[in-house]
Amino acid sequence: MNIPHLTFQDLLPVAPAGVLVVGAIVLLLSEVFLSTAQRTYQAVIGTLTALLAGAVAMNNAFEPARAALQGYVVLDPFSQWMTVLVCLGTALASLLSAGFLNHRNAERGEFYALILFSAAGMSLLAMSAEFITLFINLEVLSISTYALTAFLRRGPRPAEAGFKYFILGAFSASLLLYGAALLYGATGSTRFLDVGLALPQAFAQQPGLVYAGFGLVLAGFAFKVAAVPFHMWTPDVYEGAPTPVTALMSAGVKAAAVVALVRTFLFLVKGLSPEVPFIAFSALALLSMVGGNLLALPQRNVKRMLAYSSIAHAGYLLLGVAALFAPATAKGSDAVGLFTATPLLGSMPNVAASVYKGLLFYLLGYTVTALGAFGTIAALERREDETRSNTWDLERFAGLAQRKPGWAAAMAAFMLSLGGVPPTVGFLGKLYLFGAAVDAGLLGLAVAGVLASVAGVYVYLRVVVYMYMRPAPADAPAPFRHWTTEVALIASAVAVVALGVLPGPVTEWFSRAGMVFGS
Amino acid sequence: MTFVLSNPWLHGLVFGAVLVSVLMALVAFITWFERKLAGRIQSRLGPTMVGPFGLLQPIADAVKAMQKDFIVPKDADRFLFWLAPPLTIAFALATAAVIPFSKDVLAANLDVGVLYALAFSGLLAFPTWVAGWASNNKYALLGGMRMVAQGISYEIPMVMAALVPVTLAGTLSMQGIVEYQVASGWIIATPVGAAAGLLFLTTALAEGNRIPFDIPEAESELVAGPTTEYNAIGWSIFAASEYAHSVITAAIVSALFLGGWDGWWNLPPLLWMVAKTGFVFLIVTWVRWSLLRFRSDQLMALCWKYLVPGALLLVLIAGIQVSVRG
Amino acid sequence: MESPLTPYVPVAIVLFLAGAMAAAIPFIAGLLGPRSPSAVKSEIFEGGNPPIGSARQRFAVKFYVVALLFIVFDVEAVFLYPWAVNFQQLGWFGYATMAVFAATLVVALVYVWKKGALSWES
Repeated sequence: MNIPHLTFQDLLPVAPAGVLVVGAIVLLLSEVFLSTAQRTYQAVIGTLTALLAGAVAMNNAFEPARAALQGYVVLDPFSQWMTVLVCLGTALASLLSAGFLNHRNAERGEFYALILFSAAGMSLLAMSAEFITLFINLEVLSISTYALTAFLRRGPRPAEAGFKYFILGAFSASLLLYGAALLYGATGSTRFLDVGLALPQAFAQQPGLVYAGFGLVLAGFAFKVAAVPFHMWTPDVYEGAPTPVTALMSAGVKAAAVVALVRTFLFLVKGLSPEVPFIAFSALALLSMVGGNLLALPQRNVKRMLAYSSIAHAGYLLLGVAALFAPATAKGSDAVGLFTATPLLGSMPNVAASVYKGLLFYLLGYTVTALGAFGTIAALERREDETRSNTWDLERFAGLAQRKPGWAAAMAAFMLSLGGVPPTVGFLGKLYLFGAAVDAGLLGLAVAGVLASVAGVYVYLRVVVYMYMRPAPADAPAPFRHWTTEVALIASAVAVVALGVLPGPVTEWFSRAGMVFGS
Repeated sequence: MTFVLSNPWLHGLVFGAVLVSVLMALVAFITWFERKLAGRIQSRLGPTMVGPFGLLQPIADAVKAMQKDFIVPKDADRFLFWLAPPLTIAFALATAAVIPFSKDVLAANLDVGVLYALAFSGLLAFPTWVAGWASNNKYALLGGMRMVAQGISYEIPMVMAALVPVTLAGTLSMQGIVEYQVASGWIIATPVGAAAGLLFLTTALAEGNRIPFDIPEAESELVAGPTTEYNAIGWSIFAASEYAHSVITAAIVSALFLGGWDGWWNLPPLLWMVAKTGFVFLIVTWVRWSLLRFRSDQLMALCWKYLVPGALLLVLIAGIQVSVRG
Repeated sequence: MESPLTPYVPVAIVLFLAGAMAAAIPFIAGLLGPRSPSAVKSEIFEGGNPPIGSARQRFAVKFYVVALLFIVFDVEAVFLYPWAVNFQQLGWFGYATMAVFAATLVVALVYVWKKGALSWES
């Protein structure tokens, strides 16, 4: 029998996830063994665990790219940087949760444990190079988020959100699984490497099977990324979930799903005519960019508006993915071969590299911005609001500049960053991403993206207008104070501005990020 | 003969027919045996009137049950109500397919025999639940719920206890485990094996809904549990499948822990297997008529707080034993 | 002839015979027994009184908690099986791997225990 030899090198890529899981277990046990009323320490444990895992992942990101665990996962800078982003989002989300839950008497170790479990799932999802590993980690991530969505289970809204998310999420996961099963049937393997090698022949023999598998896997991913037309669940779920969880979902889940999508499809397209994936991703990107921004326009409910905005941002990310599959880029990458343990650099190395840099930087910007924006909403929410229909109405932001000038300034920075206005990180992200798309020859799509984001700017500026130019309503509730919330908001606001002005070494690191596919 | 043994279709047909008919006959005989034994334990005589020593009593019972009107209660789910009794007996009989009665007397030598046996004996909780739900009776529903809760809870330590022989023998085939015991000594002879055997027997009692674990039937509180609304042949089939399940569980215990058909004095292996099965069944019956019933919360606490961790510990100890042996 | 499914042929036959036997008994009984349903006969037994309401109502949640625990621990127990079969080849390395796996389960058990999910009367 062939006994797998496991070395320390194999465990290195999964080390961040390991740290997260250990932290989650500690939190679970702390909940049952230390039953003190004051539970802020749990948020601190959660945050520190996430930061530690992020540091481990950052250390990994400078390792040479290679496959590990017999090619079931890969260690490459792209997935490790993604883990860093996920951990950053997780740390901010747990900090935000402390005040939010404390205000609702709902601080529980399980909450933070679930956040860490879901982060572990995201990290592992980003490095999966095999269908079963991919599916299991997708489920780890999803099941944790289903539970988190319905965590404040009293009241109709979380129940509705939890159920919608669970039913639709399970449905989309089964689509993905069915597609993977079809591809396994066509190629006889679940490992990305072997599937990619067998796919050209399989496609020649049974094109219908391969197309069906391709479509189903794509639909499954599009659900998780919340791309139009698979976005129906997003507004309701984002609105009903506890706000810090919404923040984590909009940033972390999306980031991990995009990475997994790229890794899956860069080999799935072998044998298919190159236009098919390119058209598919371009269509998804265009629909999401335009649809997300247009649907956000009529929203007075800020949380719902941000949900639609997150759909639009999924569209921008898919624009980057489409750039990777653009005929020019794809032809270049074939020259070196998709399956070597080197970054995907072809005869047009700069294009692929700048797309990866764009994706990563965009996700970094979106993570800090979304966490900050949702965090401000969370801080303005009152417990007694949950039965009201206009909990997150724009009116709640009226006169915030007088009541809480610091928060208003931070929120203004987040809104400008979401809109892509300089000097914020959102602007630089869009610049890199759209620039990479133009390099790849997607001028039309990039222009459409810019136009769509101009429509988006109106939505975001309206919040700023309300904060600075409308008087506060008489019954405006005082925002609650909790040091963790302030720390998280300050950290996000500083990051949004500082990274926008001085990206420093970050862009340099990101531009060296590549991807491998297992060997 | 060799042709019959080598052709899977003929082999299955011969052994399957023998297995099913012998088991059904055995079940009839066992009801007599149990009633006699119970009578003796309680200073009574048990059945005496029909045939010598009352031996024909089971046949009289069966004929009587068949002639009765099978009543389906009002608002019951008719299809499920009819379906439940045949399902129980079918699952109980199907479990026997992988039990090795000797080197050659074995319906199917599956390489996953242990899993197969555990899966089918674990399935038994579900027809009982179907009966409870279909009856539209509160006692029956409560009994069915308890049956499922108890059945699935005790399934876990049972599966883990069966893991000890599997770890020691390094195979999942029932025949393979018996052959390991022929070569290296019975599993019950090792301390970890003895503990696992006891644990397995305990959980098997609970799986089979036998005293002291017959909470689902608890006649003092639930009338007759899931079978409250069943009469005539429906009830008889439930009773028969309970006996069939007990016998088959006894056979599984014999094969996994007591060396199966291994024995001394050149006696036929089949005889050894039957004798061991009978011995285990005697213990089960004796326990039934001697002990009291647990309370349902005690039952759950026993399983989850003691048997599950204990079984996990046994598996780890068995692992050490195998590792040290090399 | 020697397909991997060959050993399952007898199993299928035994299953068929068991099913046939199980179906035959009620069928014969149906032929032999009388059929004379009446309103009183088909009444549901509830301690001799007329039944109150339907039996199919909402049920205590503790049963569902047991079902959830079962899913977790039974899947885990089944995961142990392939390990046990190949254990002799895997050696101490395999043992350590499984010990880690078992330890996480013990943590889960401790968690549900302390959470009170295992105490039915409280």
